[in-house]
Amino acid sequence: MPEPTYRQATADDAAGIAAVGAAVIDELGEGSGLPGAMTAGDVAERIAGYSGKGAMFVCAVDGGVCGFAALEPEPQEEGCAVMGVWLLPSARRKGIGRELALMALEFARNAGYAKVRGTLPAGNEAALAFFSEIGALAQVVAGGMQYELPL
Amino acid sequence: MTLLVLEDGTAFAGKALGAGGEAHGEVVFSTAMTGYQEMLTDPSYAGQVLVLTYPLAGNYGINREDVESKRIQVRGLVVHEACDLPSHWRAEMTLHDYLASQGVAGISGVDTRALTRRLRSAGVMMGTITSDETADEALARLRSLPPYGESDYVREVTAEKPYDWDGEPGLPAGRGKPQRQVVVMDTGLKYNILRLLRDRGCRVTAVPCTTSAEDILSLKPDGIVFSPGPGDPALLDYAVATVKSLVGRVPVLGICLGHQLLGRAFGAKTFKLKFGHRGANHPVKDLLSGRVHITAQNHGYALDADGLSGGVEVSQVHLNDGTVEGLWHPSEPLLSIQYHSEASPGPLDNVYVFDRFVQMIEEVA
Repeated sequence: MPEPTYRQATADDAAGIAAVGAAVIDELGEGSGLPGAMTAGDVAERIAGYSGKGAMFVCAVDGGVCGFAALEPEPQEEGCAVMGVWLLPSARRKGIGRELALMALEFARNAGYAKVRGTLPAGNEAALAFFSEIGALAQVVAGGMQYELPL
Repeated sequence: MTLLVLEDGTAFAGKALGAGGEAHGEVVFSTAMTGYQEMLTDPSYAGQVLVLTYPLAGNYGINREDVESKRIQVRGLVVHEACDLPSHWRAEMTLHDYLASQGVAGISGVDTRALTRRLRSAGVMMGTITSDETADEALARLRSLPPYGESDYVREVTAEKPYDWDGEPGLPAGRGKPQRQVVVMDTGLKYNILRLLRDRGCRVTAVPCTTSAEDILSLKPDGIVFSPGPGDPALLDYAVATVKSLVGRVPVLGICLGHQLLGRAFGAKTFKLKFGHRGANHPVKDLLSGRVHITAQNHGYALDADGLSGGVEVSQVHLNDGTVEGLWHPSEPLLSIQYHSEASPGPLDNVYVFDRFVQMIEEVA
C-alpha cells in the first residue's frame, strides 16, 4: 500500500470526504454515525462554518481520500466536542483511524476543549482498544458504544 | 483482544494476561505501588477482580517467598503494563506465567487510572474480563450473575483442618523458641500474620473458621487472633457467635475482618464502603496517643460505631473518611485494628500491634 498522507481538510477535500461518507452510509446505514448523506457542497460549507471551533482531517492514499475525522462543538455542553472517524473498508486495520483521531484530539486540546465524545460501532474492538489506551471511558449502549475522553 | 466490561456498561479493551478466558467478580482497585504478588495471594481478595492503579506490574517478577496463602486468590487482574522481562535476583517467573500457571485471567493495556476514577466516582461494581465475547454479550452475562455481597467467601478460603505454623516448605519457621500458644481463627489469614507471631515467640495454630469456641479453647491458647478475610461480615453470624463465646476468656486480637467480627460481637453493625480502602498509605489516627500511622489496608466494609456496647471503645479512626480503624477495651485484654499490621504489602510501621498483643498475653499469664 502506498504511504498515506494526513492533513487538515480544506474545501479541496470536500468531494473526497463526501465520497467516503457515502460509501460508509451504504455499508452501515444508520449505524454509520453520520447524520446523513452529504454532498461535496455540504462538506465544504461545514468546513467553512467551523471558524476555529471545529475541523476535519483527511488521510489520502495515491491522491484519493480514504478516510476522515471530524471534530465539532457539542451544542448541548460547553467545553465539549464531538469526534468521529470514518474510513473506507480498504483503509481499516492499518492505524489510519488512530492517526486521524490523534490529529483531531490535538486540535481539540489547542481549541480549549475539556473533553471529547463520540460513538463506536458494535464490534470495533480495535477502536475501543485505542480509546481505552488513551484514557477514554467507553459505555456499552444499544448498537455500539459511546466514549468520553477528558483532555 | 481482551475486554474488561463493568456492570454499568463501561468497557475497556486490552491484551490477554495470564490464562485468558473469562473471569468475573467485584472490581476493586489498590493504590499500592508494589506488592502485586502479596496482593494476588491475599485471601481477602477472593471473589474480586483486582485493578492495580500503579501503571507497571511484574517488573520484579514472582518468587517463592512472597506468597500470603497457598494460591492466587483474586478472580482476575487488571494492569496497565505487565512487564515480561522482570529483573530481581529472587524472580523465578513472570507475572503472566504465574497467572497462567494457576488458571487466572487478566488484562493488560488498560488505563487503570481512568478505571480507578470510574470506580471511585461510581463505586465498586461487578465486572468481567473476557476474551471470547463482544462487549454486549459480556454485559448481558455479567448482569445475570449474583452480586458479590451475596456469597460467603470465607468458607472458600479458610483452612480445611487445623495446622501448626512451621513456615512455608523450605523456608525458616521464625526466630526464637515458642513460649506462648496462639490460635488464629482462619477467616482468610495471610501467612505474614503467622510469621510475625512466630517471630515473637508464639507457637501458632491456625483453625478453620467453623471451629467451635470449645474446640479452640481445648487447644489451651494464651491468645486468639481473629484473622482478616473476604466478603460481607454481615453474612458471618456463625463466626460472630464463636467470637462472642471467646471474648473475655483469653486475650484477643482482631485484624480487618476479625476486627469487624469483634465489633459485631459487641453489637455494632457493618456497612459497605463506596469504593473501599485498598492500598499501602492510608493514614490512621490513634485516639489514645494522638499519633498518626501510615497503614496497609484492604477492606470494602467498615464498622458503624453507633451500636457498640459492652464497654468497647473506638481507639483509632481513618483520617480520610473518619471510619472506625481500631477498638479497645479499658479493662479487658482486647484489641482490634481494621488495617493490616502485617503489611504484605505495605509499610511495616504497625507491626507494633503484634508486640502489644504479646504484651497483653504476658500481662494476663
